[in-house]
Amino acid sequence: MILAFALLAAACGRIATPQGWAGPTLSGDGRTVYASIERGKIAALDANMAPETGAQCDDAKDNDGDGAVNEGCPKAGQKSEEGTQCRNDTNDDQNNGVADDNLVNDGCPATIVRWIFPPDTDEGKKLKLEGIYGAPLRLGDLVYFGAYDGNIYALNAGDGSPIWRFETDDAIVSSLAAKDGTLFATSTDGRLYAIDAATGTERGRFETGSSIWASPVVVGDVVYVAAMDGKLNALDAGTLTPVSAFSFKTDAGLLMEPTLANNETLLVGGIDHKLYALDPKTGKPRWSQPFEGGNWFWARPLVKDSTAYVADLDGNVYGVDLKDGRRLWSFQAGDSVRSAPLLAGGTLVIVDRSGNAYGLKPDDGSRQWGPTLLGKTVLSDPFLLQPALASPSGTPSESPGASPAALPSTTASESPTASPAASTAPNGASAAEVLIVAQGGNLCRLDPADGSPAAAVLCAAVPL
Amino acid sequence: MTRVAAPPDPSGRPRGSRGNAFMFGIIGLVAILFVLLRPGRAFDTFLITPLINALVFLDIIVFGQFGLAILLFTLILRLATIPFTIRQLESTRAMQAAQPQIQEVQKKYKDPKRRQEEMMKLYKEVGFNPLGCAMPLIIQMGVFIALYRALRFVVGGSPESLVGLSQHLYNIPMLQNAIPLDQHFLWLNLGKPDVTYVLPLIVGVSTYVQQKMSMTPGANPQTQQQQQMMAWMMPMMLFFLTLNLPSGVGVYWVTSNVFQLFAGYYVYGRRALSWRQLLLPNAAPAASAGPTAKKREQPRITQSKQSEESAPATAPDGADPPAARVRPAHGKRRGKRKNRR
Repeated sequence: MILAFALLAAACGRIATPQGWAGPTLSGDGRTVYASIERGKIAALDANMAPETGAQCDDAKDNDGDGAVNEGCPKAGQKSEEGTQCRNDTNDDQNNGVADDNLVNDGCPATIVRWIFPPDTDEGKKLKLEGIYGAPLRLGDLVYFGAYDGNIYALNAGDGSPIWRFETDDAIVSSLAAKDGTLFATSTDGRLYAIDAATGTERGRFETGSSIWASPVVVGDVVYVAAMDGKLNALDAGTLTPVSAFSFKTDAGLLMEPTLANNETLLVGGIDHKLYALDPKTGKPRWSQPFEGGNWFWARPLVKDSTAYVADLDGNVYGVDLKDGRRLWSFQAGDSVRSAPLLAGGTLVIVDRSGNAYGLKPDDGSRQWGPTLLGKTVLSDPFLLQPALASPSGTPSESPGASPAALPSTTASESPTASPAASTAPNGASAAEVLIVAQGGNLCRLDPADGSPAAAVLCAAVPL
Repeated sequence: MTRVAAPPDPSGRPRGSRGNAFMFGIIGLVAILFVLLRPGRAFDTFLITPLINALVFLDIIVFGQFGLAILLFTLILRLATIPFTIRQLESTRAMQAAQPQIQEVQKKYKDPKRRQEEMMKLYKEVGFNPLGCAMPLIIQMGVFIALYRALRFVVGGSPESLVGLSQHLYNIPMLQNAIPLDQHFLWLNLGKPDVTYVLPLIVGVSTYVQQKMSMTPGANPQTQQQQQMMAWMMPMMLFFLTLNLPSGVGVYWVTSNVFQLFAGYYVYGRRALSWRQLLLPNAAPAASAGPTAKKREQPRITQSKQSEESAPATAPDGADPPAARVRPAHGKRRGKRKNRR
């Protein structure tokens, strides 16, 4: 009995660890995806996940222009190249001390990890980030993210080397926002921090007096911070002083990242099962009564034209009229939905916690396809990856995964998953794919048109 | 030689039969629920979810101090199950007092089946109910596992646990508005293991004391050795478990142990908590000490002379003659005496 008890307790002990649910982010040039593909680690991956094939494998060139040479090419000789051997452009696999073959990067995976942080070195092993919950933010040559260990990290986007680290007093479970060289970070210690993006020095802080789980959002000169005491704080981005004209408070905690819809309505929600539409200047409700869901609202809403698409933790997905908060339609997923809805090529993609992916018609919520079973727990936001963005012509404002607040001139229409780039694929929707990071680090790739796998395998671990 | 016997049940039924019926009733009810629903769902619906909501409610009562809520919860639970606890302790005490008879039976009867029968008779006479001991343990285990799972959701120490909590919290505004709960209590983060080793140490020590207090002396050196090993193994195991479990579980464990010590004091008396009792390897607890002991043991002590007189010269199953001369206080004659009384 004691042994059984010990085994049970030991098994349970493993479950309680934070895993992280950071969604992926695309670099400004569209060539790199930043994603947490392992618990407490962040990696830079080549955005073009399609392999080189046929004659492309015989040379030592980057034929598909994704920054990697001969990725996904078959093994030649006795041994494959692996690990760091795949990140250079030389033929360096040996068998018994002699060159194994004359091909570069043979046997390397189709998705190349450019770097991973913390690295697998003695110094890197000392860092325990525990989990990463907010999507990374790329600004200039640096990548920023907050981790569950309470630190904000700035890394060199090129090689993943650490530039600076900023410490808060408690865990960070939100994304960062930025404006004019200043990063805004919220922590569960109850503070909003303004940090110099270049040096990591603190420029100011605001104490809310309550834990903060939602990401901050910058709209114009105002930073919105939703706290767990139910108060939505509107602060001057320069001085971090409260905007006196703005006031909003509800009884239950606010979990949802505030989202500005069509430049005129601020959407917030949380534990009281309600979605509020507010005037961003005064905080006064725009609807006669808040929209009532079936459970907590945590997923960031998606706004397209006059409709907000929201999901709650009971697995309900709603189409809500932005004018009056009327329910247009609803759809019931198989499990809780914490992931934000994604609009991809005219299909509303929903992924629930059990890893069921659905494609819905945005007009009436009817099912187009699904569920496609990913077989993994999914709490991260899905991400639309378009081949068009893999070319250097991509601009930061087209990055679907980037936080709107991360962009210097954020507007309401730049809600990440509702951006024009996300809803209309320049080179045809069928070429785009939905990237989902499942818990445990597996990357799942779906065709948004029919929910079929966009790669040979629906979900796979990325070889490091 | 003195013998400790249980007082007769006024209803005429064997002592403990009502308790057993109640216990089996509960187990049966739980089994039916588990069959009707899926075991995981039944566990969630009838144990985890109410427990989570009760904990959140208690947190509101104690002004958002979740550590106090766990403490209060443990006390309420232990008070609710005090009849089982007292019964278990009394059973153990009766067992301790009946050690000489048990040893006699073990020496006398070589046939395992017969020995088992005689042991069961003896257990019945002295008021020791093996199932009565199991019930508090089952409840403890069930609550411990449920509490651990509840704590994972309530102060689980990860955002994933908060997503899980949303599935268990009743849609009552008062409960919903209390989320998230403050994880800090004294020096502890209730959702994370205590890295200072203080709480695991307290858990280990309190478990050791509680075990020593209720330990039945072994019938032979081998059993005594095993018991000694167990007296150390269990606290050590809990020490290491607490190092890896959320501190909230440790708070529950310590509170529960302290309660058990008080209950033990009530049943066994002060001698059960003496330094000698706690530190000496084979010190037998005071079987007849304590308030309840004084009340109940005195009338039940009878001389076994009568038994000795009625013992056969040679045991039919080949028991050793000296032991066979001492007839244990059970069997037909004992039954007749009972009837006469």
